[in-house]
Amino acid sequence: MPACQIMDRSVIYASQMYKTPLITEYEIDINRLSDILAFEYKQAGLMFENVQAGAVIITGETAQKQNAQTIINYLAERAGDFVVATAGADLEGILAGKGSGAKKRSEETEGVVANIDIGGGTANAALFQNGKAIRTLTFHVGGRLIRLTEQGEIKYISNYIRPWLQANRFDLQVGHTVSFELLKEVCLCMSKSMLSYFMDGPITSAEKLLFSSISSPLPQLKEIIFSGNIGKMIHKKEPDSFKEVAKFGDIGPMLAYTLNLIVKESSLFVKLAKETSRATVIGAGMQNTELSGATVFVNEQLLPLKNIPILNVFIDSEKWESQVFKVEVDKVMKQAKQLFVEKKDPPFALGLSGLEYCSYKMLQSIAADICTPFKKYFPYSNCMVVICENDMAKAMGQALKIYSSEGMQIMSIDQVDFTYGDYIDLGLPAAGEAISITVKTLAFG
Amino acid sequence: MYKKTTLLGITYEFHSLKEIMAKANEEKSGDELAGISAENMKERMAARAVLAETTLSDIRSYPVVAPEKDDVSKLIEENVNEEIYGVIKNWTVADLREYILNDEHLSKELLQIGTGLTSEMIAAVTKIMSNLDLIQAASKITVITHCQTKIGQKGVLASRAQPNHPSDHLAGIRASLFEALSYGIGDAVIGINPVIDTTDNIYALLNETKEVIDRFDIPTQNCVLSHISSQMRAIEKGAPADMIFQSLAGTQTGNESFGISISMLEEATSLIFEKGTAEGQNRWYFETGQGSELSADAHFDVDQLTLESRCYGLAKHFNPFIVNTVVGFIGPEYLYDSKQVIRAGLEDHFMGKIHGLPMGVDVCYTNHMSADQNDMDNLSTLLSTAGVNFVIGVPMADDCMLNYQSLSFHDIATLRNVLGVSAAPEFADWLKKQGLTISSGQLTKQAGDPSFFL
Amino acid sequence: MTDENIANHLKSLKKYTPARIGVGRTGTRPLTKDFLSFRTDHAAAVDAVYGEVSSKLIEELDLFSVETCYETKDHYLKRPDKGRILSEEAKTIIKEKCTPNPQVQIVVSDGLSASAIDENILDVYPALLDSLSMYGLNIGTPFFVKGGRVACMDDIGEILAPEAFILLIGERPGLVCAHSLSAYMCYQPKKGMKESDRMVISNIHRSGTPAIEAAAHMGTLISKMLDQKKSGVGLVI
Repeated sequence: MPACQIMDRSVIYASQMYKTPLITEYEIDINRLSDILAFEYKQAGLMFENVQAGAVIITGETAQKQNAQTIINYLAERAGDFVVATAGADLEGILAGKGSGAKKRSEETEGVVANIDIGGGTANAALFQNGKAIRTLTFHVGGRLIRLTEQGEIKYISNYIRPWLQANRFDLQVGHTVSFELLKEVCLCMSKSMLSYFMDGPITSAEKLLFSSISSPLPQLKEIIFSGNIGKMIHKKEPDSFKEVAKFGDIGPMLAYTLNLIVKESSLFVKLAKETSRATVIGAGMQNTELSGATVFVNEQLLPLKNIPILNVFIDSEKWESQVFKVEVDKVMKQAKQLFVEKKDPPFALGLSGLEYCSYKMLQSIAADICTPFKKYFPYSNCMVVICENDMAKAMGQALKIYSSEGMQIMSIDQVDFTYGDYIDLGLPAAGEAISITVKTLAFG
Repeated sequence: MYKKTTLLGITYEFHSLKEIMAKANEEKSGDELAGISAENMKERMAARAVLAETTLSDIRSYPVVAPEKDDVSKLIEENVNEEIYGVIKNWTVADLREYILNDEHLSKELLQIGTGLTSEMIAAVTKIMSNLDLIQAASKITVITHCQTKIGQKGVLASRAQPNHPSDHLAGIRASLFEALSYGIGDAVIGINPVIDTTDNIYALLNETKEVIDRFDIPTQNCVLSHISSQMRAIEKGAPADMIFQSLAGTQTGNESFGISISMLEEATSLIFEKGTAEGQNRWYFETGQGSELSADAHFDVDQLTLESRCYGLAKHFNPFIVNTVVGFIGPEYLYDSKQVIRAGLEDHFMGKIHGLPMGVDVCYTNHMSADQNDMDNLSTLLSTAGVNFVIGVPMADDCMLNYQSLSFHDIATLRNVLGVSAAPEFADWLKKQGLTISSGQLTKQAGDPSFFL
Repeated sequence: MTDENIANHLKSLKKYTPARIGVGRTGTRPLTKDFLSFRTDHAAAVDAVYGEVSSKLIEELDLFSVETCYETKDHYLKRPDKGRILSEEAKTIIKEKCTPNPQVQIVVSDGLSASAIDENILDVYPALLDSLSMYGLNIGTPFFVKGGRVACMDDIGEILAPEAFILLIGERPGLVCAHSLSAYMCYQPKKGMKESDRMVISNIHRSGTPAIEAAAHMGTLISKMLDQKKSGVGLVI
């Protein structure tokens, strides 16, 4: 059915950037944060109550449950409908790729588009094809992993990159002064190492830069986009003195320059990012509001429904067999019962991915095979949530209604890419029947 | 106007020029649907006999649609070169036919005569010409136009690359475009029929085509065939457009059903000259096709050939870079089978040319017409010998968005090869430089492979 | 580029479009396989136009069959006006067999593609019945019209005066798909109604609009028409 699309998103205000206010190394200082928020809302000419919905995405080293809890408690008393999530490196990479324009670009171009979001401590890469995230990976590559003074004295070396430095026989010591040439060579090698994954395969112990090892080689790339603070500097001219390199007290400017140098010599095509430093934030805003398919089956009075855990069953239309599906769906429901609080209603959302074609007969059979185990495992539940990858939610909802027990509330939505999420929020109707959706990785349920 | 004639012992009476014009037509299902065609072959010939003896001034005196009520009529009337008309007004339609076919009268003479004719006079003479008459006459006329590049030279068969996609997917459009270019197709225009008629989408498509043109330095022009108003909005926003496009009808009411007026066309003309990206003086792309007025119930009992000719009278006013009759697209209720489509294609091409227009033909058919690809082979060969300015190419003749069939890229390459004609000069040089053709225009080993452009 | 590279590139290009690209050539002509496959798809499209809906299928759905004034297929193609009116015989049968003034009247017609009915009706029709009954709507006596055009719903409307109407009709076939179905819907069909009062869900086939979802949505649209007592652009969805 004709899909609803969000036609326009615009940024009405962008604040300055702050270093995260911390109490301890990992704990956010909510008092200082709230001052920042109050100040920035005022700058934007907004009151807390003007904001209907929002997202707080906590990334990097402060991405912890405790911080998320603190922030949500604070916001819950003051502002509207906020989603708080700690992103995790995978989601961060995807969000940055959305914000930088890599996802959109992949819808327009042949082949795979990579976004590498490089900040202080990590480089989050996400690969997009046809508008979908297909791979993510994270590197210990960032500006602040090595910090130094304008005289070239090394003040800090992150433990994360010591193994890689060692493997490449770079002898750097905190407190020592490094030569300009050596520093450039380190950055060049680090750039080459990381980017080798996107070219002909890892060299110069590149695997030591990886967060976690990867199981198979990456697909061939077509274009690459750099975002993040380092991405912002990528087209700057070569820093020619320690003064220029260390203007932020770290290796960032040199790293940005050497990344560009490596890519320029390769067959990869660099595209300019739509957003650099703010790519993740912009991407998070986009993630926060997606739309379901245009035809759905929901009881609007039950909306919004928040933080529903998703469990997925994949169905290959060509090989579909009722018996196999029955076993599969029973297994998933059993798992759901073990994992999630049974008394919560709806207990979970059943994802149906694949299923590119569904006949009337298949629909009837699938609906019956979902309703039977649901009743068995969740006898007290009055609400069943089903999320279809493909355009069939209303038909599925109507069929489930027929096969479910009297009074069961069915919520069936479709055309949602939930592959990279653990939880879903079903929001209010946004355009016709289409409802707003948030797929997320939550810090707490 | 009342005329009477006796043919083979039967007397036929006609009560208006409109009736004579309609009955003199070759058989067309559209005229039958309108209920205005001849009863039988003899009546058809009687109408032709009467028409042949009608003078040009008679045709001018009895307008088929009154200029006071129709701005297309008014425009055609105003654009007649009175000096030329004064010399020929007492000619009969038969005289006109013979002047046109006389081998002492070449391009210059025919184009000059054309300026003194109304579209109705041109329609009239077409009705008493055979298919080969139409080919002979059109082949003498050369109309060269200039947008980014020039097309229309003698010995040139240009082509529109039509890389449509069912959801306007940019990468999909590019893939089909690369295929076209690899066969040497796209010298007349890279033109896309969009599915989604929003400003943003038109903007994106214009940008995309322009980007490919710039990336490979292709001597051609781009165009997106949406409604004129969405193109104008996109161009206002800064979209790069070499040309602006619109479909035309032969009556004011017909144009209103398309949501356009002459003043809108004039507004668009100023815009494309102000903000367009081309350098030449011809910046319009018009499409027409027999039957569109009837389908919009805007035909006033005038036959579809005459109305088609009036589209050209309207088009001429705007000095277009290309005009294209989408001859077989409209369906069997207007042109039933290949015989009717072939006839209409040759008629439209000739009528356009003598109007002085850079005439191209979309040699095409739909699946509910009684026609197939062999008929397109025939018509495209006939039109190429008649010197058609350009034809349309889609991958393997199958337009996966508009759901009809036109010519394959292969077909256009074949026509060039068999008839010894070539791509437009600048484009032909580009093909050679790319290594896709050799000097004779023959395709090289690299040609016909879209991945050449990756 | 190596041959393998070219093959990979072609594959990646083809992925983005259903257009027949990367087909290659011999001289200036297409290769035999692609040439024949193109002509085969055209053959399927022509056969869809000239074909007939399986009578077994019509029986299976428990429909009776009537005709418009189309006479022959050729006449049907040349005279769309004839496909918009029912034959006298048809009118008599409909009056005799159908419940008058139903809430919803369903009619199936071959239109320009008989195979559109053959391929999709077993998914669309039962799902449509489910959907209408979910909205608690009463359905009139459904039937099949041979040689129908979209506006035949107006003529039927004059006879049965249903509150809402659904016509499932074969679309003009294309080469990519020769069996695409459309569902035309309107509130109180009658002679002379405006085209803009009709609503349509088109492109229903295996790789287009999913049949079951289209059918499920028809129920929603019809129920809204009944609530708001109108159809077309004015309907609030």
